[in-house]
Amino acid sequence: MDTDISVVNESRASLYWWFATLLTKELDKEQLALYFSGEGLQLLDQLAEEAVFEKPVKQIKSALLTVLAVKQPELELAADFSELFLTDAKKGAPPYASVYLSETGQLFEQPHHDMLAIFKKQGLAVDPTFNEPADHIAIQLDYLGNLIIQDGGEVSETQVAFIEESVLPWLGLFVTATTKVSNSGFYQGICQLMQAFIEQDIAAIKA
Amino acid sequence: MSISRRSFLKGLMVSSTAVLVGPGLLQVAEAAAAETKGTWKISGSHWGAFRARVYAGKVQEIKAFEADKYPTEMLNGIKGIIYSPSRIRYPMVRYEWYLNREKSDTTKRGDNRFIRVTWDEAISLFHAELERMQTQYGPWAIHAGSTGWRSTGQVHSCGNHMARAIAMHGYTVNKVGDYSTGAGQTIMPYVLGTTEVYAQGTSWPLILKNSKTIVLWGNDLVKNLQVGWNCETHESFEYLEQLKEKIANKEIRVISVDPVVTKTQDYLNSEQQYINPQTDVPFMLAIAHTLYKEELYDKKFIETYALGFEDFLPYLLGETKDKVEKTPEWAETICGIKADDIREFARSIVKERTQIMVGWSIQRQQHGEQPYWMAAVLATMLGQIGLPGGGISYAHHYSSVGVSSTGAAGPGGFPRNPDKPQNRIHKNQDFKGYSSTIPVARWIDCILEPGKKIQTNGATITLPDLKMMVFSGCNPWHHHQDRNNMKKAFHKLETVVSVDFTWTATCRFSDIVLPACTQWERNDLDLYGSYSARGIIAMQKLVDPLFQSKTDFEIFTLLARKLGQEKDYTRGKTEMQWVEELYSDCVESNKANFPMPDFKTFWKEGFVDFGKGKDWTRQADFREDPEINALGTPSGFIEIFSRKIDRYGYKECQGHPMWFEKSERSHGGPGSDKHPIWLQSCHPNKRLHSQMCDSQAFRETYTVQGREPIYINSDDAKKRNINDGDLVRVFNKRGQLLAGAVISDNFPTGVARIEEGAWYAPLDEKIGSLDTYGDPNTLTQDIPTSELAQATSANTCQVQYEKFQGQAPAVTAFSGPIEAS
Repeated sequence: MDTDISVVNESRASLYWWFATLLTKELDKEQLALYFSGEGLQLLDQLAEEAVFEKPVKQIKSALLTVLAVKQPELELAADFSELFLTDAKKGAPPYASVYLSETGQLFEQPHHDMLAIFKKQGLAVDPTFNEPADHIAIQLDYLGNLIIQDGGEVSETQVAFIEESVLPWLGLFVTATTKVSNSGFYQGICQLMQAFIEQDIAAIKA
Repeated sequence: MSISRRSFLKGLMVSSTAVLVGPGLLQVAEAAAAETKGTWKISGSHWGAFRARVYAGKVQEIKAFEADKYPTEMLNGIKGIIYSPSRIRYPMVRYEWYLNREKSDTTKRGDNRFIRVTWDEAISLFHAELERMQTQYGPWAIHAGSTGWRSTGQVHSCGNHMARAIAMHGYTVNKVGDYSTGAGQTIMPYVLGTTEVYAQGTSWPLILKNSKTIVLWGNDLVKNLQVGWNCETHESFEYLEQLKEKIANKEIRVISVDPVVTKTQDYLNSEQQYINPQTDVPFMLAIAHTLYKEELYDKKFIETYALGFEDFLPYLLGETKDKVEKTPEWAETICGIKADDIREFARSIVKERTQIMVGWSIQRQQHGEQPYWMAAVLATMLGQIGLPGGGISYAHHYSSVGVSSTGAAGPGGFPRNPDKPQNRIHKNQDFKGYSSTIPVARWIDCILEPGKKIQTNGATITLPDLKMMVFSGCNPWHHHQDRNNMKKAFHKLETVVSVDFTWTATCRFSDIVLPACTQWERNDLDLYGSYSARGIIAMQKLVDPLFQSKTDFEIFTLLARKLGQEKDYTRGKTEMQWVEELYSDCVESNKANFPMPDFKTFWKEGFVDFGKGKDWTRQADFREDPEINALGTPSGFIEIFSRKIDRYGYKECQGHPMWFEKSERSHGGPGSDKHPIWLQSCHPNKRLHSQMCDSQAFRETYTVQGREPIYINSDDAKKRNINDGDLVRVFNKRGQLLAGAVISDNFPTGVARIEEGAWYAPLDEKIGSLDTYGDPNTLTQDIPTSELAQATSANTCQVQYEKFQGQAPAVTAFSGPIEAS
């Protein structure tokens, strides 16, 4: 076991889970406060030290300043979240691989079944309280975090294959879709940060 | 595989991220059942029954139910409904409304941001608004009575759920009539004693055996029989097939009186009597004139079975105020049929046994009461009412009317009314002088002109000052007329609540949007064959409700729970217990004549077949003895003249059928100089009203450049330099839309068709904005048929169109609420 890798993996998993959390549901008031002055802000600052993350972090912080100006910033961000991920399938960015990768553009297409097949092999299932198709971005990221932790001090082929075969094929399409929506830009920043992180991550593995 | 040691990751304080990370989304799976190819289940729909293979929690394929020999291709659209990206996935509230409630900026309705709320919060908001309305205003402020074609299934019938739960809270405004047959169902009880539009008709075998001529008056059987109110059986198509053969063998003549060549005419290879749009009454009057002048009509029948012929004659003969004799020559100038052809038509239908089958299109126009009434007068003059294969019907195109009824009882429905009305939370019944019931199509008038007094069906009513609308399984932003007028009205509403499974335009213009699941995500049962009562079909849940959607039963149970009346609402029963109870009650009702298996067997088999019914002739009993089997009219006889209506003193619906010029009419009629094209918005061929428009792959089988088709005549197209497949801007003073040109000479010059039910997709929320998909009700006018029915006049509509130039905007429908940026 490579303890260095083990430490890095813990951080990687945490970041994947963090992105999964942000894309699972809206931030409540308390969670949002952590990004104004707390662990959230610290994390953003820390990430910004990496050159490739600087730009998206800047966008996230600027969006936070924008929403801070309104009476209930958490609602403003909730409206942004809805606009991007929950309502308009055309102008928004539905967080499902099927929408981007299937011919029909419908929900629950092959990417959903592929995820189910992966989970089945592992004896896993989507938590029924999060009643979403299995190709939801947050489910993929959550699962990836789990894979990384399972790997402990190494980086398995399974992990790499999952990133390459299940996440990367639609990641860019999804993130581009978010950029077409104009609102505070918080989630667009998060998505760009996520994309930069994943791309850097896979590059680091392959290096 | 290794990973490069990245400093930032090593230094990352994992513990600091812990508070930022939420719970995992995965869990250990329960032991899975052995792998199979899936399970076949049975269900039903307005489009018919089908079996579905469900595998891995998903509907994989759909096959028509084997008893359905003529399934509609629309079954191909079912999967697209379930898995449409237009699904409403969570309870949503319009953001502006969430922040400011009744003080929200309502001009932004239709272009607004929504936020997701929990079910608990959504129901609390819904309840709080009902509460505020009842306390701040009164029962007159809430309209929770508008209903549409819902989804099939007797337990979950959404109108019943909405009505029951809301009635447990308080009284509200309700409606009478519907958008399909508003004029017909109001006039016909005065004339023939029942609505006629929702009534069983003479059985097809008797028609095939006895009729020599069938007149299809504005009636497209083949198109419209694809869908049914309950689970459709498509049994009529067997008879249409036989009819086609009889036409080929010259045993029966079928004449379609219609401006367009219908799908039925194409299928049957039958004849057409072209007529200018909206001019059926002049044609009918001229036929009556011919029958009278040539003494071809059945005097004896009129004497025995009808009243008021002598009161009608002076009008026919030009001896009343207008001094116009309704000769074929007079009619020719209006209806475009040569006087001699009119005479010939009259002679031909009186010669032998003639069955007149009237469609609903001709009463969905201004003065729509008149052609219905006048058609009955014609049938009376022919004297064949009550004879097999003769007389008149107004419903053979609907829900397999004409397929004999078995007489078996169908399953009841979830109760619409509260069991204990005395427990209603708000007992206030003071409507402050406003009417508690309004004609269905006048609700926008209520919002725009509260307090206005209008005449309707013998009464004077005062339009209530509506502040809150509640819709469930109902899409008035499809079925009501004049979108821009609706936009104005919606600026005045304080709160709009919609329950649906898909982001219809109605949901997009709402404040609280609650996600119902589709009918295939719940257990239910239904009558198989609305009028034939062929059997009972099980509607087995195919998949669990997607996302956070819930069944109608659950949604309104949650509301009842807020009222502290959950148990009274559900009677302490679960969904499945309701299914079983409705089935058992049905077994009990049928035990004498139709023994049925126990519930378990039924649910496993999925179907109970009651067999075929006995042939039957409409109004035969009346013909046999008009005294004992009197009609339901005031006199008990056919009323050619109605004293009752005459006494109302209406201008546009008087004591007998008359011709009234329309506010807009093509072929030289009013408004045709500026807007020369008559736009018909008939029931669609590949949808059920607006249902299934969201089914993308199926929609793409008929759209043109992603837009709803407009069917136009080749000469009209050439004049405007339009080619098949071009985008067309269709407009009049009320609105504008984009549609895709389909050139077809089934449509004469001066006539175009855009089928109703095309989803409204405005560019933005502003009044007058372009509809990017092609909803014809962007162009139709919101005027009543007359003081009698106050029904929709959708088919009185003139437009102009031109080739669309420039960059076409993307279609804004079929997703969530729009946001113009």
